[in-house]
Amino acid sequence: MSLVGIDTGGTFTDLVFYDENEKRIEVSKIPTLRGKEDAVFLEGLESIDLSAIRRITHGTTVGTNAILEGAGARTAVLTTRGFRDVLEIGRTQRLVPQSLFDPKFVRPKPVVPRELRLEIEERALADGGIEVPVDEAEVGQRAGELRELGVEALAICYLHAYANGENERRTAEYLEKLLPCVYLSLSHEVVPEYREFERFSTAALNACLGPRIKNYVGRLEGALGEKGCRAPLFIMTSNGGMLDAERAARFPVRTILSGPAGGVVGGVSVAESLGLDHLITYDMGGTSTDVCLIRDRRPVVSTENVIGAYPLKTSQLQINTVGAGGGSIAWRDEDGALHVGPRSAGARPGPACYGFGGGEPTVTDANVALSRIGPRTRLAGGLELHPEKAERALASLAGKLGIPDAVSMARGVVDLAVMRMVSSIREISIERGFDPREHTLLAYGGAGPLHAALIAGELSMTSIVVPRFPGNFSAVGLLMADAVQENAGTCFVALEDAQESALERIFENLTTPCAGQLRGAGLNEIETLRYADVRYVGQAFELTIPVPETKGWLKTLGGEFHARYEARYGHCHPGDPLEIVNLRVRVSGVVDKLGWVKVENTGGGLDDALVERRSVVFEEEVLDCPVYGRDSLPVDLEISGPAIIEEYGSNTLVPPGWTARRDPLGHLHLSASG
Amino acid sequence: MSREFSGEIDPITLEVINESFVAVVREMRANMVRTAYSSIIYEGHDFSCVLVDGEGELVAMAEDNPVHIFPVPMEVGEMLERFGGDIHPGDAFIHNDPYTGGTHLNDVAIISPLFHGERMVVYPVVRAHWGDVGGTTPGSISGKNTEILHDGIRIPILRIVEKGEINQGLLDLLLHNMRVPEERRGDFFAMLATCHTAHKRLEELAAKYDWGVILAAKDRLLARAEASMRRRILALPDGESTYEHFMDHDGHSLDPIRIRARVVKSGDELIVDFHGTDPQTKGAYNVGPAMAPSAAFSVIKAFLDPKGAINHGAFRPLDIRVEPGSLLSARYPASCAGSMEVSHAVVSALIGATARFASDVVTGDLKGTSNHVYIGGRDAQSGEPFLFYEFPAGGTGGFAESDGNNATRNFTEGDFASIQSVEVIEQGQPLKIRELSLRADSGGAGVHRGGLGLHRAVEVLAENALLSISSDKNVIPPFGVLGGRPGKPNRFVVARGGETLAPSGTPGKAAGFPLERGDVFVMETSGGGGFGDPYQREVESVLADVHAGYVTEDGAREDYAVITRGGVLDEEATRAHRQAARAKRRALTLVLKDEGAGGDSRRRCFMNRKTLAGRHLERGGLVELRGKWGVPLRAWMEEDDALPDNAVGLAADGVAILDAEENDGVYLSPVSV
Repeated sequence: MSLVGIDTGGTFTDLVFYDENEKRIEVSKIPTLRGKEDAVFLEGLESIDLSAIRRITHGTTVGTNAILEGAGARTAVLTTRGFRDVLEIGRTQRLVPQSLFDPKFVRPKPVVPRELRLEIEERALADGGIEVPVDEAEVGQRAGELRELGVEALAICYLHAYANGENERRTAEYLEKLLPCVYLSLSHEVVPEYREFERFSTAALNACLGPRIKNYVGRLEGALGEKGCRAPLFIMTSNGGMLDAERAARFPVRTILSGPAGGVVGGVSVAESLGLDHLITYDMGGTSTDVCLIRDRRPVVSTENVIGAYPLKTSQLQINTVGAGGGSIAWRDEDGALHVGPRSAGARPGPACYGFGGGEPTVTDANVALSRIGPRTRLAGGLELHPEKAERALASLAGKLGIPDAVSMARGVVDLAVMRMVSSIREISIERGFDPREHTLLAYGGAGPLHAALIAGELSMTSIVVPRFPGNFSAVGLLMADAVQENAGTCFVALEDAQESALERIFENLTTPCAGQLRGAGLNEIETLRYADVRYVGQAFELTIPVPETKGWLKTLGGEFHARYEARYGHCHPGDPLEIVNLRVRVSGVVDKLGWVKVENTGGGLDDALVERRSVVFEEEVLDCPVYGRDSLPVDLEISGPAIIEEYGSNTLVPPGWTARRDPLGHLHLSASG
Repeated sequence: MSREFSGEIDPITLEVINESFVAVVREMRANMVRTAYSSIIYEGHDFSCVLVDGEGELVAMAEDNPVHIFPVPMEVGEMLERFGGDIHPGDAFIHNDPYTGGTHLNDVAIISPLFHGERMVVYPVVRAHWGDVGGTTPGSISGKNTEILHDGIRIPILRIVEKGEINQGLLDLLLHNMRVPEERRGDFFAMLATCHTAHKRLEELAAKYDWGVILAAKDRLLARAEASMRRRILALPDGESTYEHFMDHDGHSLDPIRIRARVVKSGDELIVDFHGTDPQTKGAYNVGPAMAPSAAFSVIKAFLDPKGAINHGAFRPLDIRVEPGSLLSARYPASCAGSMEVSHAVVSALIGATARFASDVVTGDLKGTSNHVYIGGRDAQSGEPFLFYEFPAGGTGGFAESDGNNATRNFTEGDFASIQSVEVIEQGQPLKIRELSLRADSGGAGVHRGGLGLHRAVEVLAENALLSISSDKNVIPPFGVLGGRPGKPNRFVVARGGETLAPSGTPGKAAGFPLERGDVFVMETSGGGGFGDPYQREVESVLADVHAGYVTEDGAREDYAVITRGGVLDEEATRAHRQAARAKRRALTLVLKDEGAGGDSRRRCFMNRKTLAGRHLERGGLVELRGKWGVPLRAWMEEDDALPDNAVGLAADGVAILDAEENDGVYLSPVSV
C-alpha cells in the first residue's frame, strides 16, 4: 500500500509518494494552474496505482486565496437584534499595516456587507439562559428575505451562543427546510467560545468558504471514486492535523493555513527521528518565508489569529510569515534607502537571471552573482540561468546607491534579506521568552538551506538540520500528520469552587463526539490531549494549560498556571484567585505515517560526490569552493566549509566555520565549529 | 560581519543598523507586554518605547502612540538641563510633569542613559500609562478637575536609579501616593527591565559595529528623514495660512475655547505658531508645552510625508511655537487631566491650517476627543466593585479618493481596541449591552461622505452606579472640507423610563452622575467630516448608502437632495431637487466689521435682521463660512441692521482666515448643534 501527499502551492503543486512496503519515497513538482487546482491534483496521480493507495492527504490554498481575493460565496449573516454591525465595527481598530499617519487609509470591507446582515429577535444571556427564544414565524420571514437576496451561504451568529446554542440550532432546523440549498454555518459550532466579534467573524468566513470547499472536495472525491480509488481523502488543517473530507467541507475555515502546516508537522517528525526537542522551522520560498517555534516537539498553537483584516479564532500553528523570499526584489526608494521586498518578481518574469525579462535584482540574483547558485545549477522546473543578467541588474542598482560593484551589491541584498528573517525568528523566540540558541534551525523550502547558516550565525545558533527533500518538505509533512478533531467549551468557574468530577464530565462531553467521528472514519488508535484556559480573576485574557489524565490534576492546575505565567511574564501572583474560562480537547486518530528510513551509503568517497569546484563569494573573500551532490555524500562523513551541497529543488550553503554531515537517515546536519 | 568605520557608511550597513534599531524597539515592546502588571499596559498596550541619542533626539520608534513619543525629547532635555554633567552609567530618571515635557500625570516616563566612555550614546526611554497616580478620583483622570493637584502626584525629573542602586525612599514616596501601589511597583520594574534589555541589545550591536559606526549611521538616518521632509516642504508654494478651532467648553462654563494655529511656509521650513490661542482654562482642558507640537507634527507628517521614516530628523524643518500661560503651555496649578482632548483639538486646528498646503491630502475632521467613559459601582449580587471603561472611536473624515472609515481609530492615534467585547462585559459586569450599531446619517455629507460614528446602548443591572465622561465635540461637530458638511457630534445621554436625561449641564463632561438600575446609557460617537459638495455625490453612491442603511431616506433627501421611496430612486424628483437646492445657494458679500468685546472666545459674524430671516438663521446660532482653501471658519451669528442686505460682517482677522478680501462673495451655512 502507499501514502500520497499533495500540496497545492501558489506556483507549484508538490507531490510525495510513499511506498509502505518498499519504504520508498518519491517527490515531484508540477506547475499549479489557478482555478484548475483539482485538475492538477488528478494529473499528479496519473502515474500512481490508485487502487493501492491507503490514504491521500491534501494541503490546499483554495480557502486562503478565496478570502484574500474576496472571492468567497455570496454570504449573509443572521444575528441578534441590535448587533448587525458587530462584524463591521469590531473593536474599532484600523488593522491596516502602516496606517498610523496615513490620512487616506481605508479599512478593508467587512467580510459580509451590511445589506446582507439581517437581524432577528432573540437573546441568550451570559449564564446560558434563553431570555428570548427564536420565533419560527420570524425565521420564516428572514428566510424569504434571504431567498430574495440570492445568498449561497449563511452564518447564524447569536450573542452568547457559546453558552447555549439552542437558538442557533433551532434557527438552523427551520432554515434547512426553508432554504435547503443554502450552506449554513453556526457560530457556536465553528467556535464554541466567547467573544462575539471573533466568533462571528470566524463563522462568517466559514460560510464564505463553505460552498467552494464543499464543491472542490466533492469534485475530488467524485473523480477519485471514478478512477477506482477507494482511499480516504484527508485535508490538512491549520492546527497541524488532518480532517476527513466531509468535516473539512463543514469547517473549511480550519484549512486556511493548510499549506505551511505540513512543513511544521514534518519538522516534529524530524525532531523525533533525531531525538531533538526544540526546533525553529524556517521555510523560505519564492515570495515569502514562514517560521515556527517547536518546543518539546510541540509546535506553538494559537487561537488568536487574523487573516487579512479578519479575526480567525480557530486553533492554528503560530507561523510567522515575512514577505521576503528568493524572488523578493531589491530596490531604492526616493530617499535613497535600500529595501528588499515585499514586492516579488514571482515566477514570471521572475528574477533577472531567469532571462524572462525581469530587470530588477532579486535575492536569487544576488546568490547567483555570488556564485552560491552556480551557472549550471538547475532550479525547480529545470530553468536555465543567466548569471550575466543577474549581474547587470545588480550593477544597475549599485550605481544608483553608490555601491562599487555588483558583487558588493549582491552581498548587501543577501545581508538585508537575512536581517528580515532574523527579525521574524526573534519575534517568535526572544520576544516570547525563548532563547533561539536552545533550538535547532530546520531549514527547507527552495531558498531556506542557502541562507540557513547565515541566519543561524546572526542568532548564535550552532545547529542546523536540512531534512531530506527540502524543496518538497511541506508535502512530505502531509504524510506525518494524524487526523485531529478539536473541541472547546466556555465554562466560567472559580478555581476554588471547581470540582474535578464535574470538569471531567465536561471533558468527556467534549471528547466523545470527536472520538466517535474518528472511529467512524476507521481510526481506532485514539489519543486525547486536554487543556484548560485559566486566568486571574479580573483579567481579560487566559493562558492555555495542559491537563493530564491522572486523578488529582485539579490540585496542581493552579501551580502549573502560576509557573507558566511566570515563565511568560516574568512574575506571578500565587495568592490571587484564579478562574477557568474554557476547556479544550485535541483528539487525534493515530495513522500510519511516512517513516524516515536509512539511506543507502553509496560506498564511494567524498571525491565521488564532487560535482565541480568554483569560486564563491563568502563575506569579503572569494574562495575556491567544492560543490557536492547530496545523494552521493558518504554517510556520517564530516566535511568542512566552504562547501555547497546541491540537490533537486534546493542548495545548502556551508560557509567557512561550519561543518556538514549527512546522517544515516539522509538529513544534513550543519554545525558551527568552535 | 564587523566592519571598520572609515567615516563613510555604506548603504547596506546603514539599513542593517536601521533595522537593528527598530528590532530593539520591538523587543522592548514585547518585553513590556510580557512583564507589566496592569492590564492597560499588557492588554491595552497604552505605552510606548523609543530610542534617543545623547541630545535627546528621537532615533527610532515602532507603531507606537505618537502622543507618548513626541514629547520625549523635551523631557530628555529637562534631564540634561537639571543633571547635565552629573549623569552616570547605571543612572535612570523618572518623570511625568506636564509642565516640563510630560503628557498627563498618568503617563510616567523612565529615561535610561547608556554610555560609551564619557559619552551618552543611543539609549531607551519608556513611557507607560499608570492606571492610577493618586489625585481626586480612582484612575486619576476626571474632566472636572480644576488644578493639577487633583490629577495625582507630579514628578519632576528625578534620579530614581543612581549607579545601579534604586532610590528606595523616593520610590516608596511615589507609591505611597498612588492607589493599588503593588501594581504600580510591578509596572515600574517592568519598565526598568525593558530599558536593561535595550541596553544589552545596543551593546551587542556596538560589539559588532563599534559606536563610531552606529552613531554615524544614526546621524545619516536622521539626516535622511530631515531631507525627505524638507524636500516635501520645498515643493509647496510659499505662503501662510491661519485657522482657528473651537473646543466645546472647559466643563465649567459653556463658553467655547479657541485654539489658533498659523502655519508659515517658506523655502524648506514650516513655522507653526499658536499665538492667539486662549489662556489656560479653569478646568482640566490644558496641556504642557510638549503636547501641541506633538499633535501638530502628527498632522504635518501625515499630510506631507506619511510613509517617511519617523525620527527626529523629520522635526528639524519645523518650528512650533506655543505661548507660556496659554492652554497649550499651561502653568501651575492648571489641571492637565483633559490633555488628550486638547491634543485632538490641536489636530483639528492643524488640519484646517495645513489645508492650503495639502489640498490633495486634506480630510474631513475627526472625532476630536478620546471619549473617555467610566461607569463604576458594585454588583448587587456579589457586592464586588466593577469599573467599565471605554473610549469609543468615531467616523473618520472623507477625502479625495474615498469615504471616511466607519467607527475606526484615526490616523493620529495608536491602534487600540476602544470598545470591549459584549460577551466579556456581560460575563463580568452587571451591565447588559442592548445595541452596538452604526449611527445612520452621522457621517458628514459630501462627494465623499465622512465615516459613521457608532451607537452603543449600555443597560445598568446594578442597583446604582456612577457615570463620568470626558469628551469634546459634543456641541461643535467635526467640520467638513471643500464644501463637505459636518459629521454629527458626539452625544452621551441616559434613557430612564421614557425620558432622555443629560448626565450634566456641560455636554460631554460629567463626573459622578448617579445611574439607577434599568437606566440605559447611550453613547453616540461623531461621524467624520464630509469631503466636497454633497450634491455632487454620485446618485448611485447615495442609493447604495440608503440600501445599506448608512444614510436614511430622510437623510438622502436633506443632505444629498436625492429622493428615494422604499429604496427605489426617483430620478426625476432627484434632478429637480438637486437643481433647486443648488439654486438656493447664494453667496453673501463680505464686509469688514469689528467684533467688539464679546466677553468670551466666540468668533462673531453679523447680518441684518432681514438677511438673517431670509436665510432662516438665528441670533447666537453657529454657522460656518467657507474659506478659499476649503476649510470652514466657524462663527456665532449676531444681528447688525447697519449692514446692507445679503452681506455678512466679519472682523479682519476672520477675513484673513478665509483668505478672502472685502466684497468677495462667501458661502455661509448653519451648523446644527
